[in-house]
Amino acid sequence: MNRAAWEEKPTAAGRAGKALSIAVIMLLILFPLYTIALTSLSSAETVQRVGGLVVWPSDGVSFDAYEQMFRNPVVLDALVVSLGVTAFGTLLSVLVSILGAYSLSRPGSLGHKTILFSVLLMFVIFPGLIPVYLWVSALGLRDNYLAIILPMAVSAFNVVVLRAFFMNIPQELFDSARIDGAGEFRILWRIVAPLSKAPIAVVTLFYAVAYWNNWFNAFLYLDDTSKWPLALVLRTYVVESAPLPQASGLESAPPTLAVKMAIVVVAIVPALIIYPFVQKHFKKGVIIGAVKG
Amino acid sequence: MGEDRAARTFNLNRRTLLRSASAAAVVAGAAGCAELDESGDGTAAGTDELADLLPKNIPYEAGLEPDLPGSADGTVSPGFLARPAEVTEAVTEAPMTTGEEITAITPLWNPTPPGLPDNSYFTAVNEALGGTVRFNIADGNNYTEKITTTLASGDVPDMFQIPGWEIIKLSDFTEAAKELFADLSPYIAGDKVADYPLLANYPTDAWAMGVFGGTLLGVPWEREPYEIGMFARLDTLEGMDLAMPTNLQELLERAEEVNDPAANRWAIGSIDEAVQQAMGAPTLWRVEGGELVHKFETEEFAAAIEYIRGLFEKDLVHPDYVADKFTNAKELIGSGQAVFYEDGLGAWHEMQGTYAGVEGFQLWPLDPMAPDADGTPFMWRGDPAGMFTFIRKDLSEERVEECLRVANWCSAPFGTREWDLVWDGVEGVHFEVDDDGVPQRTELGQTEVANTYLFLSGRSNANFKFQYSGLVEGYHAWQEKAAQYLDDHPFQGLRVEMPSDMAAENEPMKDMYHEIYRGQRDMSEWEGMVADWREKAGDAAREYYTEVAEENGRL
Repeated sequence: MNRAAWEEKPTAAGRAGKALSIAVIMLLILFPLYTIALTSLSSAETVQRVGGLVVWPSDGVSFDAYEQMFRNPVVLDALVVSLGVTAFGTLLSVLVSILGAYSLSRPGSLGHKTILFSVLLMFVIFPGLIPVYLWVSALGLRDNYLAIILPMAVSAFNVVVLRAFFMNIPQELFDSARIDGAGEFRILWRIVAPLSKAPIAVVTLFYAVAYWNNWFNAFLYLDDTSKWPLALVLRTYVVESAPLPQASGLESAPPTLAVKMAIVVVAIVPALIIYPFVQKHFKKGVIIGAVKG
Repeated sequence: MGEDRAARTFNLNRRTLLRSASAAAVVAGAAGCAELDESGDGTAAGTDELADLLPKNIPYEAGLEPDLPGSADGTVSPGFLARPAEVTEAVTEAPMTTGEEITAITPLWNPTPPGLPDNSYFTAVNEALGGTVRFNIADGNNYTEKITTTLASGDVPDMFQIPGWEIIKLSDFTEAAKELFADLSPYIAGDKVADYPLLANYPTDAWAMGVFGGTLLGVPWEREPYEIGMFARLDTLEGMDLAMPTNLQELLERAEEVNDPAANRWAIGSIDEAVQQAMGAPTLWRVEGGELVHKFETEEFAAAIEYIRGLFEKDLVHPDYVADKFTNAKELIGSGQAVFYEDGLGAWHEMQGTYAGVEGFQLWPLDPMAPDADGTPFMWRGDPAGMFTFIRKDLSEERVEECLRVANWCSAPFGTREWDLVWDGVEGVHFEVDDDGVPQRTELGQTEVANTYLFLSGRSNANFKFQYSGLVEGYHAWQEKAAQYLDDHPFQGLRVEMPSDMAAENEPMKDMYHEIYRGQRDMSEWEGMVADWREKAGDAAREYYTEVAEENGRL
């Protein structure tokens, strides 16, 4: 009778309750996604008739919204730009963050305190829009893809997360590697990085999503629309209809709700695709057993 | 050599950086802090004392004769009932002659078009201009950041479109603008403007708005001076055999008659300022016994709150708007869930276009309203210019003239080839004229045409949406009625930058009276709120505005 609660066999009511609450939570998450997807697949007439998001599938499926969106060649170009920027940017960011976090996790590295302090400082102080703009302009990066990568290449938060993880790796592992004659780089790539797959995966996801979604830097620094990433181009569809007259003939109808929702779908699909691959790392206790062996 | 160039660019940029440091300091103070203690002269300018700076108004008469004549002061726009069989050419010589490119930053509220050289629309217009205008297009909804950063860097384009609603958010815009943008008076003041006949066509009041701190800097975007109106689904009313309400009393009666929540039809989709206007609260200030009185302080404003509270209390307002004052009432009207709503007048043809597919859809503005059958209607008077195009200061005289010629070209009125190019592109390529004489964009036009050239100048007001049955005549008649009731407020024709303290209190006050509408606060609290407002910002603002009014002989 002294068994703890979790040792009891669950009652039917308990299980039902659990199932119900999980179902409700799932519904809360899935329902908005479902209406977004459904609305994006509805015709303009349907959306107009219901006067908002479509909840019940009634008039069949229409790909009008997606067609309208991708008819603009700018959208396809932007997709390529976004993929490139996200891939290159994430690679750069992860690499720099790992290197930075590793050196900051080793006491006595060059300029340790100063660099650590300046990284931590970024938590509380953001330099502000105009100074960053002036700095990027002064470096001659306007209209250059680097302008949308470098300003967000390193996130202090991610560096600190990685550093904290690296510092928890048992000292014995470093000692034994060193006895075997490994240098810092070899320790980092052969011991630390493989042990840190989980946080690295998470940080990679953070960076990738940030690059994918970021439109603001492109808005500021890229004058040439052909260099715009998808997030910025798609934004111009989602914004409220113009306060000014448009075409003098047909009021080229402001993008319908269906198009807006199609954009939301396009924007979240990559994250949905990557997530399952990264997710398994979220729950793995990678470090367990490392010392025993 | 590559490195060399990089180094040079860096130096150049650094120099720009230093040179622009003062401009940066001016703007970096971030959004919205025109200081209260500043005297009026930096921020306000009156038509009276500035007549010398402004171009003479020379109406452009070579163009198409309107079917319904407009008024010279811009309160009634010329109405056109059909597209002319032949469009004429307003400007015969290509405006760009130096062979250099013009760079321009303009906002856009439409999907991004392809850029040069892949955009046949830009190419075609540039060809007509005789040179290349290279646009840096920025999302109009985030334009503030584009402006602040660009002004701070000091690296402004040759032509820069800045809307008035952005200018009021920028601290000390006038100082920065004077440093960065060209004084236009030497080119167009008085009779000199005759060289730019289409710019001369803009009303003097509109030009006066382009004066910043005693210097004419901006080419104005003329606008009709109406701020807001009440609209109704005419088809719904007619279907029920109900007449359009002509005053607030009737609006309430009609609202009760059409309201049918069980059938998912509510009387009101949105309502706020249109009632304040109809009650007779001033646009902003009015003079009472030699003193300025703010609209919040008037009985009419309180009466408007009480009236709207009544509508909410009787459940005549759509629940979406009750829940959120930012609800998109257009959708409620379009789907027939609401019958009345308030909007800017430009919404009329936009809504007719958006909901063209809804059977019988007929939107119509209510005539200017008074509180009841005995009262006199009242209309707020908005600024006669809404946006401004600035020209870079350190350009040579020849280049400034070239930019002005481009602005002149882009100002061509309805019925000209230039108007077509600016609005829809090339006939047969970007648009086709349909059987009703309405330009309809081709697929290419829909992708490539973006009205960025429109923002290189203002454009002449015109009432030309003849494709919607009765709209041109209806709007013309509406303007003729409304013009006589326009508020003759003490700051008419003056550019006055609202002090930031006062601007900062606008939203909180709005939140509060919206809470009264919704019964979350009691009407009896209003007086106390106004007293608080006076203390926080109102009295100081009154002093500031009084000074401006006195300087311009308005008090």
